[in-house]
Amino acid sequence: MRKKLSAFADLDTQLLAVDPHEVYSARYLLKETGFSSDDFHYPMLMDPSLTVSAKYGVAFQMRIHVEVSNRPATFLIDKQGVLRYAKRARTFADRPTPDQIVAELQKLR
Amino acid sequence: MPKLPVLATLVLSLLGGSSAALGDDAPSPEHWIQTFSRDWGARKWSQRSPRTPTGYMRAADDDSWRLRMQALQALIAHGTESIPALVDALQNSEAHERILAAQALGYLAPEVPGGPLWQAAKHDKQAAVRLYAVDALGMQGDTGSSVDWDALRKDEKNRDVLKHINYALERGDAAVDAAMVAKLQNLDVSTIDTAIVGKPAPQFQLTSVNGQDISLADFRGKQNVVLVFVYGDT
Repeated sequence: MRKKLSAFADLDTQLLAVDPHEVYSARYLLKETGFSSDDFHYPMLMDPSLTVSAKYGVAFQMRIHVEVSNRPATFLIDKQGVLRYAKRARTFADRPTPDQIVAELQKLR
Repeated sequence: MPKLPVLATLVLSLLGGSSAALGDDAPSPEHWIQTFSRDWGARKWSQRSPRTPTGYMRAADDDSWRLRMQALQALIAHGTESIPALVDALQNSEAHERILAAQALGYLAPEVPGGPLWQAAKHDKQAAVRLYAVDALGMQGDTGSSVDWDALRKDEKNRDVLKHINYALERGDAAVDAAMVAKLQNLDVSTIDTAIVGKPAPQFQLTSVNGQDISLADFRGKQNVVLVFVYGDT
């Protein structure tokens, strides 16, 4: 997805990621891999109350790493705040490609 | 197929309460745990894989996650009143009940007795229970620093539980954030699962890893948003 960030910028689009944990897991993993949070090229938003995950219909649907965690999903929201695209994964690898997202964004013009 | 969250709503209306305003007639923590347990326990995980032979994803038409979220919200909204029922569920019940109990106790952690959490973190046969109990011990804050993390690490073989011990240590002495718990307590359950194509996207306001507060409203009239929900692990 990072490779498409310039394409997103050209299409007036901001990429946001949502992680259902408190900030400590991300901080630990950044330290462990030698990155800092400045290396993120897009905001990684933390949703430990799970309220956003629940509103978007992804909470408690996958258990890959023992936890009962979020189903991976991608949503596209236009400039009027309307939800225009939603893809909730059926299997772990079932996600739209960056090119597919760009194609969906181009439909919004 | 009947929607089980509707069943919960019927129960609430019979009792004359509503999940948004806890009156004397609101279902008890015990009731929420039992209702969740019957519903969740009746469904199976699908998508078997070599690493997860018992399945790792709920079926697309399985909406038992909604009742789980309602139960979690209600248990946290009851606050310290829920702790006895949750500690009981943590020690005496089926695996999926113990998992929910350990997770819920994390949100109430500063008020939870450390003994039962420690026992669960050290001795529960289910890695998921140990993982959430480890989280909850960390979420206790100052009291969490009196936990013998080395003793927990020593015999732990599950890599995900070991990772969560490291996450707990990363907290230092930071307890679970009260404002975050309040978000869960104040969740309007009628907004669960309301992201529908063609309708206004659910609003949100969250903090990023580097401390930036970001709302969906920030982008209105300016940018489209691609919102990706990730697992949040390596």
